[in-house]
Amino acid sequence: MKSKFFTAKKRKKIILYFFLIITMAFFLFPFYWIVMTSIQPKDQLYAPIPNFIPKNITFDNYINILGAGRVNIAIALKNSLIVAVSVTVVCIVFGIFAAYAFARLRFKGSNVLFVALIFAQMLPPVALLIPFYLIFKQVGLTNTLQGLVIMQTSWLLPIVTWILYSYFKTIPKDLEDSARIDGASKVGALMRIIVPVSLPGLVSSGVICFVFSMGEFMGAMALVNVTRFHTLPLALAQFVTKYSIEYGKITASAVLTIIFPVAFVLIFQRYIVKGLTAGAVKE
Amino acid sequence: MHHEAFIDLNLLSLEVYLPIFWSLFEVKRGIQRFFDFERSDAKLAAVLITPTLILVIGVVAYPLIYSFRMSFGDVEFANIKDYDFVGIFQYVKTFTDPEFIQAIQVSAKFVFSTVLVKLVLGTLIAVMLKEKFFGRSIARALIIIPWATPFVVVGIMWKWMLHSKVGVINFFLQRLGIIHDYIPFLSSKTFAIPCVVLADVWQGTPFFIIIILAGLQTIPEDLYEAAHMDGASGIKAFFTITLPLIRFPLFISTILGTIFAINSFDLFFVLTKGGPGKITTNATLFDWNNAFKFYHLSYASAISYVILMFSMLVTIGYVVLMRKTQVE
Repeated sequence: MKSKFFTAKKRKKIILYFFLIITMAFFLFPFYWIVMTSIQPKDQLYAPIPNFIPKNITFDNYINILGAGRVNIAIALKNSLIVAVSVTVVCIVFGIFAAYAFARLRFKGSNVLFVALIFAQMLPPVALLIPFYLIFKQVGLTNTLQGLVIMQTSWLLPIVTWILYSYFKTIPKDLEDSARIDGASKVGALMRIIVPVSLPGLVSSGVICFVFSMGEFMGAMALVNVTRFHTLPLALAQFVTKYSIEYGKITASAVLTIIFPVAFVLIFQRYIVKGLTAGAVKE
Repeated sequence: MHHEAFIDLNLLSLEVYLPIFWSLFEVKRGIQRFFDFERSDAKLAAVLITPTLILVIGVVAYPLIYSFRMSFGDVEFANIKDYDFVGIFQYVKTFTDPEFIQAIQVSAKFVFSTVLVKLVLGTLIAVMLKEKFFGRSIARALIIIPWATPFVVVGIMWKWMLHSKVGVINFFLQRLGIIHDYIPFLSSKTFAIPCVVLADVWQGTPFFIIIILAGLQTIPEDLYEAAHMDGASGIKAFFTITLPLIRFPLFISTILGTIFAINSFDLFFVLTKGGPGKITTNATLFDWNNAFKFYHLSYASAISYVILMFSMLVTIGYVVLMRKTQVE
């Protein structure tokens, strides 16, 4: 019983690693699997025993979807990036303004407006879609990328404001006061002191906006029905529903769709954790 | 007379222009005074929050009023111009429409099971990731990736893995001896909802893990040491120390998770399209179909408001909690 391998500590480690491997396999295998599917020739996909390590590797699927076809992923990728970057920039700029006002300035109705913002964030998007569609159609914003930017910005601004608000609240007021004594204006102090200090908050809300925008599907489907303005989720859904399902091409498009969000999330992982937990955990 | 009046207004004299200069000066001073943010917080605040208010209140509140009005009418897409007030007819219809009642039941089943599984799984994995072990930071980083995966992609992944003929999940289950023949999971009445839950759990659990893990990290280690001295460790310590101290992150993730789940649409749309039959048509998908497939705009608006009421109830809980923690 005194065997080295069965001390309580060792046993605990073994159990831990056992469950860790199962957990990681569950969360990561689907990624491995769509990448594998996307680089195999069509006939290999329907083999009775799945190829866990591909026998032949081909990039035909990627070449096919990026060329001009029925579903052009290159255009969708471009549209998605344009929308996502615009949404992110607009949300960050307006979010800084609003969050600063709520965190630092005293004004009538600030509590009411702040609660209204949180409520707006919680509204079911589907409840807004019919009026969005009708109003946007009247002003010519359906089937445009601008329309998507406006819609997504209005959905994301509350959460961005909330994240930045909780960040600004953690910045000691002395820091700002000392700058003000040195002659900086309120706006100057905001730009020169508060914004640089809360860079992690800005990064995290930026990534959250980007990820949301790259994946937004329901609203885009309501506003856009022209292939020219399809974003990636729309193009993918069209792949799945309209044509006979070709999993090689679909998984290749799926891989292209997740490259940017996944890369950003991995790079800025620490910041995102801080942003997502803002408000959820007491400091 | 006319002539003299004209002479009086000597356009070349500077004095004629003075009032104009003076009023321009007043306007400039007014603008300066308005933008003198050093004196008043309210003015600066007004300038700063206006864009957000226009976007959020304008693009959210106005549509809400618009569809509220619509829900009391009988508008179809074909007769969009004529609005007849029909009172609560559409709302009565929602509660007598067996399809909608079924959709509500689907939503309820889905919300309950997905939130429960995420909560249990999220807590267990968070506890695991709190331990010190080799590769911990890599594990913590990688586990967030599903959260960044768009739902349409999640749907495609699981549709492919759950494939009835060449799906890798069928393959595994057969190899492990759990099933004998391949199961057409997504077109099966028994397995369709659990499959959507499975895909949703895969995407959403990382969010729960992040929030709960952050809560776990605020618990001081000496609490466990003290408990260990008193003979409480392991599972007992988990229930007496850990759970009570992470109750707030658990609440928050439950409430947010519930709202996400009520609004869940993409997965249902991509994985099962509401089928087989109407087995996986949840309230949101039912609403969407009525609005953008059948063009019953008034009926769809009424359904929207019913869904909105449900999520409002959850939201009120959320806001109350948020305020409470700010006070504490």
